[in-house]
Amino acid sequence: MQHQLVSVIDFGGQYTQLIVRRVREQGCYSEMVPWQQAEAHILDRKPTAVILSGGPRSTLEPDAPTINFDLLKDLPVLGICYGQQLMAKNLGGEVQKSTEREYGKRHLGPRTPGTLVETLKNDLVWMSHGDKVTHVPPGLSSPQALKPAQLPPWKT
Amino acid sequence: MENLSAKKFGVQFHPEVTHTPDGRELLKTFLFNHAGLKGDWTPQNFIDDTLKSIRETVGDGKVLCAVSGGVDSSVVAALLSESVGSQTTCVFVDHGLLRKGEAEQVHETFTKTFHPNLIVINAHDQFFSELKGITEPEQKRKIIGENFVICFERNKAVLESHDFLAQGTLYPDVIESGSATASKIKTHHNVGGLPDWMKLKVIEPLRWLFKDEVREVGRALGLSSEVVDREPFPGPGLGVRILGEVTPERVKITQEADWIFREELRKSGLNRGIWQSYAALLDVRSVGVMGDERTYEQPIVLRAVTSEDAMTAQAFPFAFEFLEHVANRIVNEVDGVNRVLYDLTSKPPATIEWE
Repeated sequence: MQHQLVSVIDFGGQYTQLIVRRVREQGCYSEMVPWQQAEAHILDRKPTAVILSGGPRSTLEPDAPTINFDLLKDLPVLGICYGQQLMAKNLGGEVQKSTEREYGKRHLGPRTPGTLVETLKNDLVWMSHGDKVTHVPPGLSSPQALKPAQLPPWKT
Repeated sequence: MENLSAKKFGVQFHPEVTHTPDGRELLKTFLFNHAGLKGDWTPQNFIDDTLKSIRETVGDGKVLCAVSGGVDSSVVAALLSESVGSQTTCVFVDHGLLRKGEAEQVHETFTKTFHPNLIVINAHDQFFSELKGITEPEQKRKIIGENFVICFERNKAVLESHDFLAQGTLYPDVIESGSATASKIKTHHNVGGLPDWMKLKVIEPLRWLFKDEVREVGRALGLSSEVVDREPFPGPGLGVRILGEVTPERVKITQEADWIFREELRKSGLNRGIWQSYAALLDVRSVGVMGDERTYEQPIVLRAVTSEDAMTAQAFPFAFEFLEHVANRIVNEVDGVNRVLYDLTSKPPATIEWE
C-alpha cells in the first residue's frame, strides 16, 4: 500500500485496539502487531512511527514481554503505560514497583512548555498501572509532574 | 518523559481512552508534529489500493459474494463490482424474513448502482415450510442457518464454477482470531457453514477496516445512505423478532408495524440518535375493542436503544406523545394488532433483540 504506517506494538493491553482506531481517526493508517512479531514486522513493513502499548505484565518480571530497541533507534516512538516503562528500562532508566496502584483519573499538574504532554489543555488523564519509572533514561527529560496533593512521589 | 530530537516520548497515562479528554490532541501532536505523518489514509486511498489488489489476486478467476443487504457485504460487493465486476456473482438469498422494502433495496443497489451478476434465490416458501410449527428460538435460528446452506446446495451447478469467495470480515474479527499477520489468502474450509463442495479461496477486502471506516468507504463508493447507515440486523432476520411461530401472515404484520415505526423515526429525525430500533411481535393475545366489536389480537412491542458498541444499551427516552402517535398508527393501520407496548429495559439485564 502507498500510505504511511503507524505500527502499534501490542503488549496485551486492553486498549491497544483503541490506539489503532484513534490513529486512524487522524487519517493515518495503523496496524496492531503482537510484540512477538514486532521485529519481523518493523523490518518488513518499515513503519513511519511506532507506538508501544500498555499491558498487564510488569517490566520487572524476568520474562517480561519486550522488543529489540535497536530497531527503534531512528524511529519516532510513543510509549504508553507499559510501553513507557519498557522504554525507560531499555534506554537506561529505572522502573520500580510502586507501593500503591494508581488507577483512575488524575491531574497532570504543571508541565514544561513545548513538550508533548503540554498539548493537553485539559490536564485530566486516565491511569491504570502498578509500576512506575523512577529514573528517566539519560537524554530524556521529564516534563510533567503530577499534582503532589493527589499523588505520592513523582510518577512519569 | 521525552527526548524531542530523538523523537522518543513516553506517557504513563492512557491518551487513547475518552477518560483522558484531550488525549486525541496528544496523539495528533505526536503523529503530525513529531513523527512526520501526513494523514494520507483516506477512504479513496483504501479504495484505489483495494481495487488494484483484488484485480491482482483474482486474475481471471471467478468470485462469489453472498450479499445480505447489510453494510459489510454490500461494500464488499461494490468493491468487487468496481474491480472484477464481470467475473463476480453476487448471491442474495431472499428468505422472506427481511424488513419491508429491504429485498427491493438489495436488488436496486446491485442492478442500478453496481452491475455484478446477481442471483436472487427466492426461498420464501422453503423457509416458511421449514419453520412451520417451530416456536423455540434456538431451533428457529438453527433451521434458518441450515436452509441458507440448502439454498446454496440447490444452486450448486451455477456456484461450483467459482474460484474465490469474498467475505466481509472486519479488522476486529481479524484481531480477535489472532490472524492479523497470517496470510491474506487462505483456503476456505467450510467458513460460515457453507457446503463442503465449495472449495473456494477466501478473499476478505475489509479485513483491515473498522466498522466506521467501512461506512466511509461505502459512502465514497456511492452506496446510498439506506445501505451505508443501515442498523445492525440479525442474520435470522425477523425470525428472531417474531416470537412463537413464523408464518407469512405474522411476518407481514411485523413488517408493516416496523415500517410505521421507522417511518416516524425518520420523519422526526430521532433515528439519528438511535443505535437500533424495531417492532417485534409477541405470541400472546389480548382482548380489545375496536368500533363496537370485541377483538382478540396480538401485541406489538417497540424497541429502540442507544448504544456505543452493542455491549450495553439503554432504552431511548421518547416523548410520550411520539410513542402514542406511533401506537395509534400501528393499531389503526395494521390488521391483527390491537395493542402496542414500549420496551424500557436496558442491556444488561435484557438483550437488544427479543430472541
